[in-house]
Amino acid sequence: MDDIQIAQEIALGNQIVFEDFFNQHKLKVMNLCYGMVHNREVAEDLVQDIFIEIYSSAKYFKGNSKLSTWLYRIAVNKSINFLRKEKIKKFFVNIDDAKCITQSDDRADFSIEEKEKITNLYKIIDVLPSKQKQAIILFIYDELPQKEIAEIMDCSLASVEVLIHRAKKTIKIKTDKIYGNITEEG
Amino acid sequence: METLLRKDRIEDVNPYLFQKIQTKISEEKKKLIPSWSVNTLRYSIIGLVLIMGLNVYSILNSNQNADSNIISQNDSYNQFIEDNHFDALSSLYPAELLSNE
Repeated sequence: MDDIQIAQEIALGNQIVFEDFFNQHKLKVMNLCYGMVHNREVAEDLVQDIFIEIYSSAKYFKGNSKLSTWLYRIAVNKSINFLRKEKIKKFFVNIDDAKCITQSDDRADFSIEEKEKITNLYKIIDVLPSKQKQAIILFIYDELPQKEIAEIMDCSLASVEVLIHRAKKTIKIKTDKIYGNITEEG
Repeated sequence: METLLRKDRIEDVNPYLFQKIQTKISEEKKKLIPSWSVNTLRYSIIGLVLIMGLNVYSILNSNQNADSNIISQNDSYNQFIEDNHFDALSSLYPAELLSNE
């Protein structure tokens, strides 16, 4: 079954095809959302919204790109919209009252040092330029090939390479700065 | 850095997530207004606008007819004067009216 047929079946309400499609992509979409928002519960809510959107707009899929690319585009846009809304919320709510959505503390498989490191990494990733953040998350969390990332982000392969390179460089400089300072103080 | 981020990846998804999605979809379907009622509303609005348009057109048209009636009245009136019918009727007309003419 090709992508257009899958989209048509989903649009017609074929639950089996929709469930297969969901099972095939749920982890990648979940990781993409988790990479963007760093909170499992929020990521799950986003995954729900994304697949509901896929279900309701599958009839509009024309096959100009792969169905998975279309799905990831929707996922990226939903995550960005969520983060924008959160930013607006934080602007109006007192910082002390603002709910911190980072969830690294709940990870039992992480050591204290790793939890601290991942929290710092989240902070660094969150202040990256939006395109760099999208590219690095699709590359690391979703392990997507750069060509597919280029299709999702609607830019050239060379641009994606540059975005990932710059993001990695920024993350490295900032982490070195943080841990360099710690060792100097220690 | 990459190793830690890769370790942070989620390896399993809530097994009830698909059920939740299905429930939400069916809830949203219930909320949706049936398409026939939307179409009925759409055609009613189009009909209403057409009726209003026709009404305005007929009003404007009747005004034009009234204007042309006045013109034709004037033409026939002028013809009436040219044919000297007023003179023929002069004996029947009051003197004040004739002096105005």
